[in-house]
Amino acid sequence: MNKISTALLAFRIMAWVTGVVLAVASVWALYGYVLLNYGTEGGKPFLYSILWIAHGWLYFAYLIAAVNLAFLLRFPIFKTLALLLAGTIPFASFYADFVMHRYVGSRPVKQAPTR
Amino acid sequence: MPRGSELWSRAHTLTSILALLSLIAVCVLFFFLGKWQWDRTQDILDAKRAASTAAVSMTDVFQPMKSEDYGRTVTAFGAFSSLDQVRVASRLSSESVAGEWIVSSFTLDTGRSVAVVRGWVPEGAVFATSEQQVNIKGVLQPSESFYDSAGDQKGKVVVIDSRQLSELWNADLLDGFIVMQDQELVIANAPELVPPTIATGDVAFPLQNFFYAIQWWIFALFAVAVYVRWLILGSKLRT
Repeated sequence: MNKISTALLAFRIMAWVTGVVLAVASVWALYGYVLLNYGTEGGKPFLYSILWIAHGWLYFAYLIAAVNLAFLLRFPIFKTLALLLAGTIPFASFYADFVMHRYVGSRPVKQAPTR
Repeated sequence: MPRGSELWSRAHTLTSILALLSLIAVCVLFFFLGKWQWDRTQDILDAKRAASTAAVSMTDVFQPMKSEDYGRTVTAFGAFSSLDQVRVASRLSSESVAGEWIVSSFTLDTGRSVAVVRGWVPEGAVFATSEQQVNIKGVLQPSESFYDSAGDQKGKVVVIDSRQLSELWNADLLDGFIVMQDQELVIANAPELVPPTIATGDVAFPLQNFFYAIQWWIFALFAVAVYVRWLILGSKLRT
């Protein structure tokens, strides 16, 4: 397994884990703020807060995986930024994973840049 | 690893300078976002602490009592009943002397009643009471559930439970009970006030805001690390 395949696998794992947590937290937030009383202080359940804190740390791991992959693929800055931001938009990380796999699969086989 | 001079020349390209300026802007932004969350953590803590220590009128305490109501300081206006009154066996004074607690029904101006621990007396001692309308201040406690099966001891009550007292006094008492800490009326030979069993604990820490603050600052450091890595990789490619 070469460096790009390993980085792509790490990115896939983080994109899905972060994406699932973000999707659950976002749906919960929508439900909570619209139908329950989450707008007032102390109205949020403890698990809800834990979920958002978890997303923050998972997103940090996602950033590491995404930056590593972007460097290996020599992505330009704006493409890299788009990849990083995908972890903060609900469901966008799933699409980012799909795009990255398609991109890596379609590019000609060549060696990863040496370190 | 590229040499220092290579890194230096890479850092002086237009792209690198623009990237550095962006990095500085991002770091400043993330620092202030972190500080905002940090300040918010403190503000929420201060507000919650102020709210939990402020005395609240007994008529504003929602029924049934919630766990966060336990230990709250409450005020009440009404009158004690000397008929609906019990002695609670085997209770200590504020100086840990064995005796009894006197619990009376206190009728609020709303018409509802609540059990109030008026204080401690030596076992069997007589004490003075008044049925005059009065303002009292005390600490709200949940009904006791320990010794639940102990039953009465020769006419004395063992636990202070609003449901048991409701049956005993044939009244509809509010949940929990008050341990009186102060009353406006000065009565000679009145029961000696006792400290509440449950005092107000600290409020829940706003974990979410606290971790957001830490995370923003970590993201700022991460942005610096990414910039340095980008410089190093760029230098390698050039050489």
